Amino acid sequence: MSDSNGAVRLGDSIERMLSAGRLLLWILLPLMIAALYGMFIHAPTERVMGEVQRLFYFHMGSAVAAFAAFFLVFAAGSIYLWKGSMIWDRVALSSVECGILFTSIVLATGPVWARPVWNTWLPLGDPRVMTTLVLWLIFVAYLILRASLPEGEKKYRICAVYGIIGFLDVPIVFMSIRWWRTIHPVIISGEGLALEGGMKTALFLAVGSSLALLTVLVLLRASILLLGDVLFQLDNGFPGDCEK
Amino acid sequence: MNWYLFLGFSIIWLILFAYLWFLFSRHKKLAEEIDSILRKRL
Repeated sequence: MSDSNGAVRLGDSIERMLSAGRLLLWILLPLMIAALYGMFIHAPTERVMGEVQRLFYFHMGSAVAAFAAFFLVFAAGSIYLWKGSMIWDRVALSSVECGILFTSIVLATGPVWARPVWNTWLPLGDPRVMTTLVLWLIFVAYLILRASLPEGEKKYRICAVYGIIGFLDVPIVFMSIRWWRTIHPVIISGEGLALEGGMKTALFLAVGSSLALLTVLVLLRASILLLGDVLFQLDNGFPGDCEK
Repeated sequence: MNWYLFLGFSIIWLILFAYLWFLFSRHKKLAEEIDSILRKRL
């Protein structure tokens, strides 16, 4: 009886997550079109780099979304350790997956831009490139760790702690171009954004739409994981703590 | 050229939007079905 009660409460949370995601999807629809218009039409062509500079809007939008996803891993992991609610563990896992997706976009668009501008695809000696690659590997390792541990609360606790420690690389990635010698451009400085007006608008739209897309994807992925948990609970009776 | 890129990416985005909408709707329906089963059990 109590198992069913817990599952009903979990089912309510899933429905709320799916409703919020669907609502946000409608906000994201015009926002993404506006961001694409900003990137390709509104923003002026950069004088030296030319059209390839437009990749920057995808690159930085994805980087901000990746940082936000890993912050969510940190926050959800901390809340899981504090409250012990399974929902936060699933949110953390979803954020890791989305963070890896956005970091992969960053790592793919960077070299395409760098080849004509820096005359090299991937300068591994560059601190920004290296720390970003390490960030990607840390969270790929999170998934490997998660898949290799036996099911249960101990696994969720270990993953939460690993996610919290893994997040520590995010400020290092952000500061790497300020701490060490690098050829990577510094866009955000003490004097604000080093961009022309139209480029700033395009960047804000790109960042906004990337963050909205991240939220939609995390909500969808987490609710799918939780639906799987409810189905498992219906079949076997779940030893976890969805009543908390 | 930029208009073609804008239209191309917009079409890709609309396809992704439609797919995400489909996934949200399908899972919401599934969640509602599971919810009704659970409430019957209570």
